[in-house]
Amino acid sequence: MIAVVIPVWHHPVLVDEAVLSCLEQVGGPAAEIILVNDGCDLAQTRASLEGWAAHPNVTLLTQINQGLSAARNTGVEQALKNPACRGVFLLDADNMLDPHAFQLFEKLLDNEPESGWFYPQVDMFGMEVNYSNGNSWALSRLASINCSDAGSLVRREVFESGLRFDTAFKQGFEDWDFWLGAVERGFTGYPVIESFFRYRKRPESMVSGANRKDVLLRGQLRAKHKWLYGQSRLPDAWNAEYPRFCIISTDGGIKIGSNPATARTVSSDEFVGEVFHQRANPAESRFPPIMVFCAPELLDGLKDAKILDSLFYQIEGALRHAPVAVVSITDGPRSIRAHGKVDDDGTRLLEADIIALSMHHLNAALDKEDMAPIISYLIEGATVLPLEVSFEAPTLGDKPMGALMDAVGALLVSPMASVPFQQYANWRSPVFAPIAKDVAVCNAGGRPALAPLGQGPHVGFAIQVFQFGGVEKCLVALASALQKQGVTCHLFVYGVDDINAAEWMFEPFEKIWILKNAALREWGGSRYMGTNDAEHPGEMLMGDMLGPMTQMDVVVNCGAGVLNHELVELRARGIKLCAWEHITDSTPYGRSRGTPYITLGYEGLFDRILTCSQQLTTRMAAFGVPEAKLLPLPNGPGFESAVSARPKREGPLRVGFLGRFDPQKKVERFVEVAEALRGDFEFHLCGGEVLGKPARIPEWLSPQPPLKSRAELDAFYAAIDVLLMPSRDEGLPLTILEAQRAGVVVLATDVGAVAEAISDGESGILLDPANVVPQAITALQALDNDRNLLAQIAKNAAGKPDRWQQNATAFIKSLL
Amino acid sequence: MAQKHVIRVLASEMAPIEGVEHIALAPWLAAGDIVWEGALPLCAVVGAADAAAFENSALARFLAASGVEVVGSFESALSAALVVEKQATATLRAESAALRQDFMRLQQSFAETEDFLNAAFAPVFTCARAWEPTEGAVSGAVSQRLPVGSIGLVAVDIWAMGAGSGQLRFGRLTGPSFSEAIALEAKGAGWVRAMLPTPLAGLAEDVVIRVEADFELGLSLPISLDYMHASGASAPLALRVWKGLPGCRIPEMEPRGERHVLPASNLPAPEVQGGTAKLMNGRDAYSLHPGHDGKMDFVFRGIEVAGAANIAAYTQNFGPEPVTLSLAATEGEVARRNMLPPETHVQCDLFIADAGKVDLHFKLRAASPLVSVFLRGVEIIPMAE
Repeated sequence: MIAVVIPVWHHPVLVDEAVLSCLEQVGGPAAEIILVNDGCDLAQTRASLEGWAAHPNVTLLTQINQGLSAARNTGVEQALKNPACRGVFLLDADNMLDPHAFQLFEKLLDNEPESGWFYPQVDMFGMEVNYSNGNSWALSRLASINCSDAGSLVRREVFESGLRFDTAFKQGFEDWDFWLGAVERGFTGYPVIESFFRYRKRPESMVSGANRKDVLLRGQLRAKHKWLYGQSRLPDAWNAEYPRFCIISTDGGIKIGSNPATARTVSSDEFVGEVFHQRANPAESRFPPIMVFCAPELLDGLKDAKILDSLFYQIEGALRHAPVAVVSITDGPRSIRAHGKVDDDGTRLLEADIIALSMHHLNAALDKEDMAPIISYLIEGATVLPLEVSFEAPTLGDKPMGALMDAVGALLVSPMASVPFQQYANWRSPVFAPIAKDVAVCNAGGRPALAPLGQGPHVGFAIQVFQFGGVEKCLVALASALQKQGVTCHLFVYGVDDINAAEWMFEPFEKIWILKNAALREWGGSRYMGTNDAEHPGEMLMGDMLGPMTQMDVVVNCGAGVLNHELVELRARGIKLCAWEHITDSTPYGRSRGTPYITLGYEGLFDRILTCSQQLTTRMAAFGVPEAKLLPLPNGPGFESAVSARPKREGPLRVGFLGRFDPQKKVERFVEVAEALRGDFEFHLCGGEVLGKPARIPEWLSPQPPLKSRAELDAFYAAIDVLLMPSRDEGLPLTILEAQRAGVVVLATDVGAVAEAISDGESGILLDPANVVPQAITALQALDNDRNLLAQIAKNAAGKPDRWQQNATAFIKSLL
Repeated sequence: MAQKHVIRVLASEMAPIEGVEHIALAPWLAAGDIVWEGALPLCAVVGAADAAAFENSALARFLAASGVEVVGSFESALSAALVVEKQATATLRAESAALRQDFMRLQQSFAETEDFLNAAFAPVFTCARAWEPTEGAVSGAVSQRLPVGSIGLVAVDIWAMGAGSGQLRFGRLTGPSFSEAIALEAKGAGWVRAMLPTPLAGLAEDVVIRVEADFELGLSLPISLDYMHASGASAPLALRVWKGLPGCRIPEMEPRGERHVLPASNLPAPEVQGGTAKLMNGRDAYSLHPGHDGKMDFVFRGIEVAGAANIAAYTQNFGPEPVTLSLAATEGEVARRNMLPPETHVQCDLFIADAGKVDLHFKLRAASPLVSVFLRGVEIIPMAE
């Protein structure tokens, strides 16, 4: 048997139709009609209900007014008293059932054991309209809109799981909340395709009121159902239920999925069928909105370069601006760049290495019906956004225009091409289908939530510049150590400079996300504690940045200040956030500044602030960061090396400088020392101009250009005995640690956290910041004269344990 | 049907009144949140001994919120209830009378509309969906979900692969059918029509047709919507779905012999000179636009007539200017010239004396090209010879 629960409040007349529609059922199981008078203050209601209560199948319950949720719950409790009751239908007092509904209920309960509840098509009377319920179950649709009307049949087991209507939802959406609760308990809904339920639509219905309070009520839902909206569940469901890409290879292969690397293969017939379905009933179709045509070897190359996902994400972003995006591929360092504006040069399709079309564009073209006008429209009717991509040694394969023509040909030769698809449109109005922006409300920054990632945890590192610098090497070293301990790392390079790093630096990362835009390196924002903040890059670009990060468990911001503006979006999803600070800089007047100060301004957002030294840890704590939030990750050598302490040697002492020729590194001090000791020592100068006024370097010093590989670094360290680092400001430089590992004695200014790496006289020599040059000359002469001392200091400094494994362990313990 | 008590009294002491259910007050005085099952008591009679306990009880709040009076005697409560019931009955009678009047007005208007439609231009038949036959076929008992809602559904044509007979029901996926079985008679390969006496009315529902026939049923082209496939086949039935005005009786739509209508979609494609004639699928009408000189000639060839008949073309002039439309069976001849005033429906007639295939030649003349005329179809009305 089944039960029908009808809460009644202020519908003394209309309830007659509701009850009558239950009592006049044709066939079907026995039913108990439970009327719940929710304290209605109209005498007419009481009279009406007491009249119906005389019927043997009707039970009347009366309670003090407590609202719709409580009234339904009262009815449900009554229904559950009968152990034979298999399910409860929730009928509002102003709605009706069709005469065969109970027959259908029995069939559904028998034939669909996997479904927890059964919801109707939206067949309204009063304000007459019929909406499709979508004809298939999709959690992401339910998360976006309440497509399951309260007029649903709910299996007994759902209530037995403890679920009831939440009385906190007094303004509406209590049914939506209930369905989400059912999903949380492991149940799914079943959209019934045939009519059985009639919803009386009135302009002043409760739902109309709820719609006006939509924002507030949705907020209430989201706050309650964090399991769905706050984490990856909704994006995962959406990506699985509504795949985003159809990828057609030049070899004829067709794949559909949200993740290009794991998309499922479909046959040509399936493809044609899905396109037909999409054209006939777009709101019910699950066919992707984007078609991508390219050579399979090119896809493989992009995947190997770890930028495949990033490119597809940018293609998706590009199609917001134009119906067609074309990608040209060149050989070079990893880069993805979108042109700033669209053009109408459709002939770009002919030469493109990848073509991406919106289905809107393809559909408009297919309306032309014959091959020639279709192709002509695809090219001439397109506005195009070009993307330029480079990675090393790409294999381009065939141009994809042929695959596009083949796909169109397959659609045209199919028998379905002769069928006017409009003849198969659902007679009900289309249901709402969740599109990216609906799901993205729950995602960060208004971009599509991405496909689910595999086993985590996943840590993302965001950085503006990725070259062969110290911060980058720290990042790579930590990622490498984390990888060894089972953590999957991702690199987000969001800036304007070209990526210029050796291949080994990409090894620890699963995927590399690139976004190149001048707005990402603007430090013209408001000033906090004397340091300018980054400017907000605009909502759209911010969405592009944050979108892929929503897949992470932890995001580490390594100086990409622009991100700070909206990191709260990630935090709201339960993603842990870190800032990683290395150094404060000085202005030409000697005032301290740098990203640590900006991080102080956003301290409340971060779960942890990582520091490269104890000195910086102390400083951040002094500025008010709670100690528990600080996680020191003392630097170690920034790359692995086989080079270690070398044998004692005779001959002139070889003194090196390694670094930028800028005011911070004070290369002019090195030059001064070299001029003073010229002739008795060998000097090796390596680096280049970066910032500030060019330094004056005498020709005889013949500076080497900056080093870009581990091998070059090893060779440089092998060629010197002493590294002189006369800097004005430092954190805890990797160069010191790497030189020490290579058996090089380091002379460095005692600034920043340098003293944490050098014990003066034992593992190196510290120079007084006020007297650097004379002290350096004296120390170098002493070391030249006492080669045993030189060897002893080198030996003391070498052989330190691997800091990065320790750092990775501390990171995991603290954050994962 | 067993009736449950509808008059109950909640009281400290027993009430010796026949037909009234007495409910003891005492157990309720201690109750917390109250959910009352069944009819509420007509009144509560609280004795002096219970008065103190009653005053601050949940029961007192519940009864007050539910409109149950607390009274001193049963008799006064019964008397008051009787007055209320009489007033309620009078109200219901007044409401019923108002509904009856509304119903009569509705019927009158409906009948007038029906007359107007029949007399003024034509009952409108719309070919809501058409799925053309191909080579495939299916036999036995076949069901096919229709792609339209039930409102206005009046007929379907299915494609018989050969001669035979059978029956068709318009039904629901679950539940009772919309119609009795409708006999099918196929004289050979071609469309066979199953027609309801009146188009379906009421609230829109899903419809399925169930066919049992000793002839094979033609299939349409395969499509990828599985739920639209005929049972036992991988394609839908070849089908034409007709809609009319819900609830209106309509003339027969038999294709031969008797008086019948050929809606625009059933006419052969016209040959056109000096303008355009476009079939509007959603409206089942040809939209006619003359050329720049306001002239347009078009002909429908091969209209079959069983004998002497009047051919009525149903037209509608949408524009603000009058249009002249003449109709003839022979090219160049002007048998009947009709004036189509602005924004009117006009029936253009042509008498045919003999059986055979007739070409219908139309000449449309207007003062400017900016006119728009609909040709909704023609009706063949057999005449005494």
